[in-house]
Amino acid sequence: MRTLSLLRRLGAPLLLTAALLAAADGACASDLVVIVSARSPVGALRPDQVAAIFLGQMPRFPDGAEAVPLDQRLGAPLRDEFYVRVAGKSPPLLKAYWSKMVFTGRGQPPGEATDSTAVRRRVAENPELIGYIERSALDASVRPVLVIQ
Amino acid sequence: MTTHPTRPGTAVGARFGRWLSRALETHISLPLFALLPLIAIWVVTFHFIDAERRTATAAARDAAHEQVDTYEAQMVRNLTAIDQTLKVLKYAVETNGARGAVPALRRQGLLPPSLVFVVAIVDRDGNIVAGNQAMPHLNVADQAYFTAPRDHGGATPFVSRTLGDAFKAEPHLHFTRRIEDPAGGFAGVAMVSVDPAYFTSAYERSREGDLGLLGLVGDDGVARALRVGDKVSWGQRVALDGLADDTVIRLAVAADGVERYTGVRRLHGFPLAAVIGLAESEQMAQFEQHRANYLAGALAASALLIGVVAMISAWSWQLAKARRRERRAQATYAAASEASLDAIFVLRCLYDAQGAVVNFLLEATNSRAAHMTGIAVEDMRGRTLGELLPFYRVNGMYDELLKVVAEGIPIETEWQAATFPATGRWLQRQIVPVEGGAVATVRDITERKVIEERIRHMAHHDELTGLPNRSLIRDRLDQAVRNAQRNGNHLALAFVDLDGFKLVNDGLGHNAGDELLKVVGSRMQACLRRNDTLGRLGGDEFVILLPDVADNPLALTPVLEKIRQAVTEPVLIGDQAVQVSCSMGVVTYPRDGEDPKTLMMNADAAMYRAKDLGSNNFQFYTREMNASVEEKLMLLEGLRKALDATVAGEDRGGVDPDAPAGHFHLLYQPKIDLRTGRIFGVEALIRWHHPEHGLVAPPRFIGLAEESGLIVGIGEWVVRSACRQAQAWRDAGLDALTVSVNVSARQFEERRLVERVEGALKDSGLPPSSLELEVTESLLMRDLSQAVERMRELKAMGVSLSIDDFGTGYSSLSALKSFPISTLKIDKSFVRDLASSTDDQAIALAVISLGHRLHLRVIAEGVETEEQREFLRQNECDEMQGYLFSPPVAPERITTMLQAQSRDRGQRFKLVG
Repeated sequence: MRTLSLLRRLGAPLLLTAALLAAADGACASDLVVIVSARSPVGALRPDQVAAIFLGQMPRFPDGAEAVPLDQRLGAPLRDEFYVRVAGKSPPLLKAYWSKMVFTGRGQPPGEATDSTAVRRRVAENPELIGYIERSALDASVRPVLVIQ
Repeated sequence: MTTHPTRPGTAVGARFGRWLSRALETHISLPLFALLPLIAIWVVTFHFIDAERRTATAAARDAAHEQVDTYEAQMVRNLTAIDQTLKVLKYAVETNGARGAVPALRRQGLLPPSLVFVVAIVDRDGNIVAGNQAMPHLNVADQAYFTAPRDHGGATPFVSRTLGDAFKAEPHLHFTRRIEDPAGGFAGVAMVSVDPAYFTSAYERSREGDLGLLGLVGDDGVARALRVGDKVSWGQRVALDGLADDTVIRLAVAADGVERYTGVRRLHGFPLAAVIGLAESEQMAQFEQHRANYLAGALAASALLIGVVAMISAWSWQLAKARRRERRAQATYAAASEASLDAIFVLRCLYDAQGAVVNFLLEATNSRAAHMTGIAVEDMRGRTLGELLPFYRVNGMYDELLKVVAEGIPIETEWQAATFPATGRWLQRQIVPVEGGAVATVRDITERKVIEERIRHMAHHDELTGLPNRSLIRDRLDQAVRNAQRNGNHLALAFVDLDGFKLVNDGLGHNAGDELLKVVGSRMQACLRRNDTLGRLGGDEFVILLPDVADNPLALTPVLEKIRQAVTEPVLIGDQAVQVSCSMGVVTYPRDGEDPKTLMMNADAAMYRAKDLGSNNFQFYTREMNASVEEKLMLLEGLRKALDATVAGEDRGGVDPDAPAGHFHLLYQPKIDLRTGRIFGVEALIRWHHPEHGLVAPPRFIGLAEESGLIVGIGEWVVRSACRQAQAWRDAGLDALTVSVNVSARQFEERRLVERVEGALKDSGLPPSSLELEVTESLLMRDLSQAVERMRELKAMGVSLSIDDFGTGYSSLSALKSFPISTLKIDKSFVRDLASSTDDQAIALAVISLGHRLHLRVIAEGVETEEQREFLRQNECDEMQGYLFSPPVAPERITTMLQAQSRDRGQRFKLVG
């Protein structure tokens, strides 16, 4: 009978990946910024507010404007790092979270963009969007609301 | 005919009644009644538990029902969404081609989230051509999820089993739908792959618990996803065959064997069923908790009830036991008291307002008490002592009761009843305190009193005469002396000794003696005043106590004389008249002694004085009498020493001719034949020279020797010495002599007399015929038959016997003839006045005549004058002895006389100075 724990099967490679990431480009890893459109009036956000928006628990920014999160491509290291750092969720946990949300009909995961550039471009275009990119990818079109060290 | 028809009935009734009364006792009835609440407690408890269980079960079923509803709805929605995606894919492929379909859908936002769903398109050859993620280059033409839609098509999507494969390493389910080309031919497969955990992600611990079950099971009975707690599994067979939709039953569906309330819903349009299971243990946990609480509560209540009932029962049982014991004790007491020979009164104190005891209530008595008081037991109970037995107020019992109640110390009293019906009876009461009263026990001790009185009388009175005995006399004397001392009175005490009583007693027998004592006693009693005491000390000795007399002893003379005369009156015993006299010694207090002891001693001395003075008189005590007693004691001591010394001296060797002071020695008085004038014999006479008092006269010490028993030893010595001396003369070739020895009464009574005489003869060598024993007349009369016997033995031995002092006693002449004697001796009292007194002459003549008639020789002693000798010789008296011829002399002198006699043989003898 196959009663293997999903968590355990997925957990081991994930931790290895995280460790490798941290070792390979440590400086780069800490350079992660949460951005909104430069036209957005939204000010600085706290990490828990960012996590709530991305986990579909807070549909609006603190000022009342609608907030639509935008994820990096599934499997992107930046995405995994973001969720670990901001929401404290590893990829399997995140998957389990969204599985339940979707199954019970309580929400859908954020939309995805292929890379940081695409994220930046779409965020810049739409003041409702909120995304995250490498710090190095910042430009004037967007405005960071949270820098994750 | 009915004979005792009620009998069995009453027996049964009685038994039933007894049984009922026992059952009604608290310690039995209470536990029985306590069973009811006990049963009620448990009935209610189990009822509640049952209701609770039913409620809990219903709740669990409802929950399972509700949850399976929810789960079904969620499942249907998701499956529909997945099918929708498949249909959209199919449409997109059919519209845009396999390559363009996915991007087109993505653009339209029609793709499901890639995080949860993997979307893929497989071409007609089984190659994966597109997907919402990077797809591996794979051919799945051999897979069931490809072949099934290809071969069968169908309206419903195909659902694979859960598996990990080349497409995706992680386990997943493939949902596929056939894609057709415009011609309706097989064009490929649209596929959505989902993690099985997705379908069970609705599991909520708060709802399903730790052991709840959530699952998706295919129509083939194989689980696609099954979650229990946190664990998700798949692939196992789940038997849902018997399970109808819309029902919840308790079932162990999963392999873990846990019983669950299980609900199943077959999902319309899919070959799947949604399963939910709620673990019974968890659903019923609260109920179990409540049940435990109920049971604990019921147990506690039961224990409390049992405890309380047990306590009350035990207490009640103890009480019943105590009551029973008390009843038994009461019954025992009643039986014992009823059986008692004593009257028993149980009394309770009655108090007045001040708390002082004023009367006693009779609580219980026995039949003996009824007998003693003459009042029935029932009439006594509940009445007071005061009204019932008023005389108890005056006979001391009432006061004693008060004292006993007050002090708590028992009192015992004896009294003589003065009221009917016990009048005159001696009673003894014992009053013992008890709580709140007293118990009086009354015993009739009349019998004991009578016996005691008799014993006391016996102890204080002489059995024969009924007169006070020595101890009572002593008591009375003590008392009289005390009274006299206190009042300054005088009292007199007389000792009375009968003269000649021994003669009567020995001669006529003890009965005669007793009779004599009784008569004499009553005669003396008749002479006395009422408060005088006459007592008998024992034998023939009486004592008279005159407690109140005049100072002058002479005033006593009349009464003493009266007594003396009363005693001397002849007494008729049987048909024989006996006459005795008495000697009395009289003392008075305080003249002759200050205390009873001295008085008695002195009275005794005075009495002996009277005896010494020839009996039949009374003597007042004088101080000299005591001296004579002392002298007597001194003489007695001297006698003892003298005997020892004499015997010891002889043992050393032969006769000491000059007997030294302190020794006995013998003198010999010649006996003369009146016809020939020759010495034919001698009488041995003992002499004692006391070392301090000089020569002691024989009458003084012989009596003493007889009293003390020394006479036996002395007598033997005399016989031996006399025999030895006689043999010495024979050996010297002198004329043969007969030696006479006096034998006292005491000696004659001695058993070994004959032996001793025989021994003396043998030792000395003297022929028995040369020895003559002289016995006194009174001696023979003491025990006639024994005396005759003894005399016959001596006679047979060859020894001669003579009667000494003939005529002084009361010799029975008839007895005389039976005596084996050879000689009569005329007493010197008759010889003394022979010349002048015709009476004495008559007696002497009679004795001589009597002797000759009986063929006895007659000898006169104490011949001192020629006239006497002449009278005797003329009247044919055979022999004589006396001072006229010779006083008692030493043996040497006899030797000389004999020698002279043989020289002058043939010549007429002359008187020797």
